[in-house]
Amino acid sequence: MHFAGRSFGLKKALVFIVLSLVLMLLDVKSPAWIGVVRANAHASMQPLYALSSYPRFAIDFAQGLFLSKESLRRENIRLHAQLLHANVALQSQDYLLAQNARLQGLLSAKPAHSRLAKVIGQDANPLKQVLVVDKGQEDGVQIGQVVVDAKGVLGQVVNVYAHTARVLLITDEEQSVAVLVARTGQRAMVSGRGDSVALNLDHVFKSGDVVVGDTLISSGLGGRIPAGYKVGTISTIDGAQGDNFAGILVTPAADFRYNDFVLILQNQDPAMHAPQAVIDSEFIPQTMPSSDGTQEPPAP
Amino acid sequence: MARKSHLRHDGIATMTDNMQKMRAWAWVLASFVIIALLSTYPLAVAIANYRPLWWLIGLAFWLARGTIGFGTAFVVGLTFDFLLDNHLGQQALCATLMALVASFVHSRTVVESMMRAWLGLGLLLVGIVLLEVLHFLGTGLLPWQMFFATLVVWAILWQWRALWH
Repeated sequence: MHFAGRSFGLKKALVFIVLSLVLMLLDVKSPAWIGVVRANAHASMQPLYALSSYPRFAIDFAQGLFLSKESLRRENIRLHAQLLHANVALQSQDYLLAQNARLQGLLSAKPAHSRLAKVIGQDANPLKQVLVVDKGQEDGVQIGQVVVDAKGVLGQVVNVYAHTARVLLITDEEQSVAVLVARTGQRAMVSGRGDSVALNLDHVFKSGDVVVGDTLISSGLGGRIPAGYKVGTISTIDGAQGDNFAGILVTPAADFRYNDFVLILQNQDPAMHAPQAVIDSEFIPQTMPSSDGTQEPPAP
Repeated sequence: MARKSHLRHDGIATMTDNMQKMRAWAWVLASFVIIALLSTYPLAVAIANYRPLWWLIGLAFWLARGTIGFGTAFVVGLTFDFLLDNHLGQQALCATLMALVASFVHSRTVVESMMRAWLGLGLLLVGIVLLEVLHFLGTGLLPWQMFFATLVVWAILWQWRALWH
């Protein structure tokens, strides 16, 4: 096996170089069959993903041991204050929720329920924006389900294993989300740029009515990501580009770097719907279809 | 009688040589299994960019020692293409070219002791440049933190003198 005393081996090297180039070409031209092998390669990493959750459990356990009563009391007060703020904010959203529920009734959309998942870590490839979460097939996770955090859309499930799943973040270069500008209702497309702190807002004319600070929410167009979730806020608008479109950067709403827990939206209906978890029974849509599919007349 | 003794001596030498080869291969295999674990273990998002390129370190080490050749280098590169979700053939090409450089050096001179560490460092730098160029042509530049972490690990290995003898 030693090289020393052997020939240079240029012919052998050429064979492997050509083979590598052929494989690269095949990967670009026909990724379908290679995708199967890739999926199996990732599935073989499943025990590793499972293993990686243990240090986090150990840290949590150790933290629990050393947390003082005083710090717990402070945290309790802080959480109470947060809850109060959230409840006040919810009161102002009542009207929107009622309207939202009514629209969903019109669309006959099934309510989405969410599952809490813990982020195990980031995937091995630094050029892919992929998170690994600790919920998988046995928890009802399926490919294509949307993952959100408390602030906005995180991404979509791309691989599911027995107890874990991989989530492709919207910051990945291969991801795009159909959005609308909350202030004007203008539709656009947000795409990832491989950067966890910025997204691109594509195809918005320089003359378009967008300003820095505009909030973007998912429009539900395309049927991949449900409508109504916050995607980001416009941070910079560059009108100096050569073409007709403005170069617009968006600060993502979700926290991609320091997320411990996320929600996986399950039972999504392709007919779009908005978050349902907070909809109270008093906001049952006035035009909700009855069981036989007919719609009841709106309440006076 | 003398001929018999000579044959017997040759047989023992071949057996010892084979055992040494098998032992070397066991080490290679074990090291790459550990490297695969270290390379794919999901890290916290904040520190994920500081993950060293373990497979490149392993490859440079074994190529510098002359234990592995083109075939193994290619297979290692291809395996990590799958494991790390890269374009297929990208790291395999990088590994093959590193093996080519190692082969060139080994065919010209006998590399022993700390010379191996220098050759390994050279191979590592060649690998880093190749990898960055291939990624630049494909999906984008790798974060600099990865290269920094890789060189730090190599510096630590450098101090471990027993590895190079």
